[in-house]
Amino acid sequence: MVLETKNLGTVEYTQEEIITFEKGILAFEDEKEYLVLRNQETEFYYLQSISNPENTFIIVDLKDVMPSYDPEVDVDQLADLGNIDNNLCVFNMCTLKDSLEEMTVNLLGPVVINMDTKKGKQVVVAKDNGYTVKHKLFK
Amino acid sequence: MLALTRKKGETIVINDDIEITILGTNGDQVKIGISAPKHIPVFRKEIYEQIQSENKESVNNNFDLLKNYKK
Repeated sequence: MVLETKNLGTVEYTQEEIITFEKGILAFEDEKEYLVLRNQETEFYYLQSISNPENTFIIVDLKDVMPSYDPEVDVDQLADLGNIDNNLCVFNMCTLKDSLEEMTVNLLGPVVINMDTKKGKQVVVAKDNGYTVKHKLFK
Repeated sequence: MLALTRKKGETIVINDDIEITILGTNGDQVKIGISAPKHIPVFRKEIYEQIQSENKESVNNNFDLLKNYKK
């Protein structure tokens, strides 16, 4: 299948690659289907909306760049992702506006994806641990 | 919105399985106890609003800047 995106050009994908967010993500509740695409040159990924090809987010797996990040998430929040024993990926949404140095990452609302069931959800961490929605990635 | 007046120690029941108890007051602060089934998430509204508003800021950013990123 082919998606003509506004930000990333033409993207080819298969049915198996579609990640379904049954509740959408906060503020984008109507957009339920996404692709996770690697940005080949960097550690970042894109969360590309299929429902609305104009919408793209930058996401990051903080294991790579902020190993100290240890979000506590209520297991019950993950119930709609199916079996959560394995193959869970956690990404965090980034905000990149004026410069790379000022890039921030949202530590309070991680995106959890079950790569087996291809279901995703943006969750709210159970304890904030001093986390904010605007954590500077590069201090 | 339904407005109920409750005294300290009194409880409101929602849908048979959610209980909200007024634990106490201190000036303009109200301490509330919430008892709900585990699958029902309970959060401060500000946290939701912060995440919503940050999501709106995160969409369609300056992707070209990623080209300057050095691993």
